[in-house]
Amino acid sequence: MATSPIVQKLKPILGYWKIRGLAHPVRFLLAYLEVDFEDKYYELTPELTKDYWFEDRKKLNLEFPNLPYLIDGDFKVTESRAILKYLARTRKPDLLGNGLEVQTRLDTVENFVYDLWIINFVEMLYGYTEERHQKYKELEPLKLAYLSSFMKDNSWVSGNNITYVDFLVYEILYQLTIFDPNCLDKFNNLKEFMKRFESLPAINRYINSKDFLNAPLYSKTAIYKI
Amino acid sequence: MFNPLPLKKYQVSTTCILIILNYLLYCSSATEETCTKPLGNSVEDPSLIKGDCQSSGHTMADSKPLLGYWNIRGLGQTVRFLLAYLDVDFEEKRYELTPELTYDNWYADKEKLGLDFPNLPYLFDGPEKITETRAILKYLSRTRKPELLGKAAEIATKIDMVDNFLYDLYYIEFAGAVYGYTDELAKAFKETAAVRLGRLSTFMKENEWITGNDITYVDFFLYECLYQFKKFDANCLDKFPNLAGLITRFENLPEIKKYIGSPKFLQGPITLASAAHPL
Repeated sequence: MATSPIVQKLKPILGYWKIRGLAHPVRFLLAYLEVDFEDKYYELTPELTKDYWFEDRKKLNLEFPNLPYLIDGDFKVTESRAILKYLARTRKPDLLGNGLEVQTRLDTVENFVYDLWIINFVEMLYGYTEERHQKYKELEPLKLAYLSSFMKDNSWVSGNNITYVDFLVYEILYQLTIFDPNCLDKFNNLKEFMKRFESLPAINRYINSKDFLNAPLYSKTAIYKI
Repeated sequence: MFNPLPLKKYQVSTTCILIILNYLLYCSSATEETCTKPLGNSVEDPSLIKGDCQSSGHTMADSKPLLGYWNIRGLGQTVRFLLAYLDVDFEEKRYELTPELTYDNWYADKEKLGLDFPNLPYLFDGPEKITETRAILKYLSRTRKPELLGKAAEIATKIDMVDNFLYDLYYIEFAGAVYGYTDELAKAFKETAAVRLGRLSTFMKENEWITGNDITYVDFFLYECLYQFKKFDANCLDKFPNLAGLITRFENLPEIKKYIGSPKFLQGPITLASAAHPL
């Protein structure tokens, strides 16, 4: 008997905490690509444990179980930057950058900003002390200066075409300015970059939509609440 | 710097971060005195550039690529292996700590090299100047052997996942444990490593390399991570024979074997002498 399988096009699911955190670049990229996706939000238990996530984690069959994750049909991807690149690769490969020089620039910036973001900034928030804050304050302007010099008056990180790294850089700069509203005062091009990003039609629509999660940045378990 | 009170899990890892922050702070500036010495266990090798209190004299006219890094395995070793695998005749600038264990020799050069994001390791290749270890690995792959980036889109995604997953394990957990060693950090690393190496092992299945039967750049990164983890904890791969197998397989690649047997090869140390638990 012939059967005709019903092919259901399921919405991609992005699983993450109900915070901006590491997932927001992915949310922005999904919005930019006009992908109708589902945000699966995880929340902490009333005792501030991660048990709701741990329960789900057992069932999801992820190779490297972690948040964020993206379930896209048959594919399951973790690691926020791997997800960004996966989305670019499958929906808009131009976002990976064209040509050796651009791709090398992107790799370098991606790694550089990730260290600033996770190792310097996020870890400082979660284990906040005055001492750590001081060290961060010394390091941050140096690193932003490198980024600003690198970008010069280009529209986007790699030049005049937007790439996946711009989604990462935007969110990082946004988060840094929430923590310290003056951190970009000396870097006009980075401020302009942020405005440019926010003005992209699909991004603008997303930011103004009811689905958009504006805050918080990080978890209630972080010592510095933001 | 060390919190004497019992540390909660996130405090353990944030202490790691503080140590790494200090390390990164040092790894980020430049000027003066780039003197390198030949390795203790190697003969004089003309490809090792020795500075005599001058900044790097490498110019665009020089045809050999130049890798700048500490005179340790650290993060640079994985690039050395890839250069060797690709049969690239390269030069090295190996930085040493000062006798007071400061980073001044690197600082001397740092802002003078024309690097957009000054850091170690760096690679000069013709007019190109690149930093960030994995950016260098990918650049070398892209320019010399693109299959190392993955022959298919699906492999490229797997590579990205492994790369990111491994980096956090190496740079946050492992580096924290060796640079700011305490019993608590060591224990935390061993526990975390057991889980995460398990994931890698399951992911690898019976493949020859981490993403399948073709070697990719992330195998170079993985090999060096596994080598270093084993130095810290000799039994960490006992439950994961496929990962132990990858080590052997890697060391037996003809170009790698030749390199390991050559006078240019840096056997150790893994860490800077300033590490709390030098390896």
